Amino acid sequence: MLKSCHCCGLIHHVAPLHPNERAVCTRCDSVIDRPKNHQTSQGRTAAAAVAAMVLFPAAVLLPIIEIEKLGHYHRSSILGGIIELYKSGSLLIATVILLFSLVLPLLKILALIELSWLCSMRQRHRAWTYRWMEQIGKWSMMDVMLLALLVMMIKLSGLVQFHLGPALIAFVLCVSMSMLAAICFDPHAIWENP
Amino acid sequence: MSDPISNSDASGAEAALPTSDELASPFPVAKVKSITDASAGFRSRLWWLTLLCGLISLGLYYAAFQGQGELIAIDFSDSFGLKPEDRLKYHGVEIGAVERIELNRDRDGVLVHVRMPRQTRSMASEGARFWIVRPVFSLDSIQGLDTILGAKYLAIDPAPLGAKSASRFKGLESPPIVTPPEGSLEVTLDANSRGGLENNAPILYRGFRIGRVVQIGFATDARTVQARCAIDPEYRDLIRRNSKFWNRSGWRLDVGLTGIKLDADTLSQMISGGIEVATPTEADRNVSTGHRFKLYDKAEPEWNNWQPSLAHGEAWKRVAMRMPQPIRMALRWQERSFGFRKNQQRLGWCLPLDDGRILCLSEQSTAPKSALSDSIVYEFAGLSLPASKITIPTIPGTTNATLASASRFSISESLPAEVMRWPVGMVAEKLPDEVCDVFLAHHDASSVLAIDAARITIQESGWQIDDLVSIDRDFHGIPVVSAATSQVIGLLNITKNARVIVSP
Repeated sequence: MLKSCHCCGLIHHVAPLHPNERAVCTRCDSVIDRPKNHQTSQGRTAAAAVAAMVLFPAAVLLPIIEIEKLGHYHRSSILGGIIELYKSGSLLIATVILLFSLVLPLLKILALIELSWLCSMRQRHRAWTYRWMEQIGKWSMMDVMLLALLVMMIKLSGLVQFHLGPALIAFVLCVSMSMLAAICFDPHAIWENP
Repeated sequence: MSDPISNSDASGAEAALPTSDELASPFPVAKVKSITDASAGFRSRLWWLTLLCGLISLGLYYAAFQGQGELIAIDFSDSFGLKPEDRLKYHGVEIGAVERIELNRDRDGVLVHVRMPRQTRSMASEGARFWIVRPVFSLDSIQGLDTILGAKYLAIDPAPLGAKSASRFKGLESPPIVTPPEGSLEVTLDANSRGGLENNAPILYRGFRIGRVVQIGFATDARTVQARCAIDPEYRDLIRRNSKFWNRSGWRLDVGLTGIKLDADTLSQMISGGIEVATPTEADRNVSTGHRFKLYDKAEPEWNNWQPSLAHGEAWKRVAMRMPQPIRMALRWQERSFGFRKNQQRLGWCLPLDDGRILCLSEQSTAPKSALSDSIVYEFAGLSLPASKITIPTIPGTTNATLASASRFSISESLPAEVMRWPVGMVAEKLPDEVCDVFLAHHDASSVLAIDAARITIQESGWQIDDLVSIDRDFHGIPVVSAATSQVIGLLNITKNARVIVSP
């Protein structure tokens, strides 16, 4: 069987592997192929994706930050913040944030669960889902939002006081879990039938 | 891909042999590494992580919703700019937050919903009072300065402990009149006019705030203005029957040939007025709550010069619980002069002790040598005893009977039961090494004089009290109590040129 290395692109012949073996690239030593039990990678992906899914509502709905400025308090969740932006007239920004840090990450997590979970799906459908997930994944920017939060905290720390809310823990965990799920997912599983 | 095949047989633990078909192609054969078998266990471990994440998210929901507490509703006529998320504070500490504000059903006021955590929920029970702290500027007062730039907030005067729970309250329009602390002295002042006085105006004693005006209003017949005043508990002993109160409201500008003189003590006095009080050097008895004084428009010049020594404050409150009760004592004798018998006497105080002996000045217990021995009579506590019934222990070294010392004598008769006896353990052996604040324990509690340590100097004969302090002759022989230990540390000996505290 021919397989190209993910890292350097060199194409190899890969012999059938025993359960405790891995095929590695002759040039760059990265792993090209695992034994044919895709259950392992699928199981990991499913576990991480479900964990991310469980944390997602908490990250979005619970208050993430509380700002105090001169005795004025403001507490907001991610969804609440988007609604406030929308109400204050910043329609474009609200839509962008809603799309890229809420809807698309959610779709990506759902797609990952679908891919890892539903083994019975038709191969063509799974391939289609995978292509979609790749496209969505590029635009799902939860991690970027975390970075934006950090930048804001550093920039504004002199002017206002911050209290971080419970959602931040859920948010950080959710981002890490969805990243873990994406790493664990082995796309070969789509076309190599169990 | 120059010559990748040469690499292909590099260290592989268990290289699978390529088929002849594969060898023909230009691609290298992937190396195969055997790995330690960890994948089987790892799979289940990751699901544990999922479970953990689920628990964490449940915990976060719990923390967010359970810690929030209950909602209470407060009626106000106006929200005064209060907004959701503004705080409910007590003594400056946040104990709740405004959740939302809406018009009430009749649309004549607003309903403020406040979320209170469980720990502080009991403060908002029946009897709690709420008001909105906002900046108030008027000619008489400035309030709530912290809310000019910052947010408005709700303030609470909490319900007493154990009050019935309630969830609907009526808010106050303005801060409530603060109830004076327990043990305050409440007196009423009668004035001809309000004279710029306001509620909460300070009452000053030597420029020091000792209380405040609780409420000012007309007398029931509107002939005078009455100010109800509360004197703080620790200063209530400064007010005596002959104290004088006068109005120090606002400020007075005197423009004269010598220049301009602005007369105002404090900013708050300038704004909300103030009452000054002075007590004469010869202070009268204490007053009790409900006493009425006249409020003068201005002070007589000599009022500012009064300097009574009044016992007050925490140390006095502690000592006053147990104050020695000295009793009057007279030593009478007869002397022979020019062939006649002449009556002589010495008046003073003595302190009965619980070991049966009596503490007094030596000169009070010892008649002079010239006295006729059969004529000496001791009178105290309703008793009249001849010298034969008195035993004065002679202390070696003091045989000369240095009069400026104390002695303890015992009597063969028993004292009447109603006479208070002071425990011997509460009498110091000698004067302390360093001066301290003392009280002169007069029989009448309101006549007790306080002497500051700064007015005392240590002399060879004892502690000498400054000449500036006025002490009545009547205090001769009075026990002196330390403010720190409440022990009797000496007796006061008043001579022609000095007032000295001598060792007991």
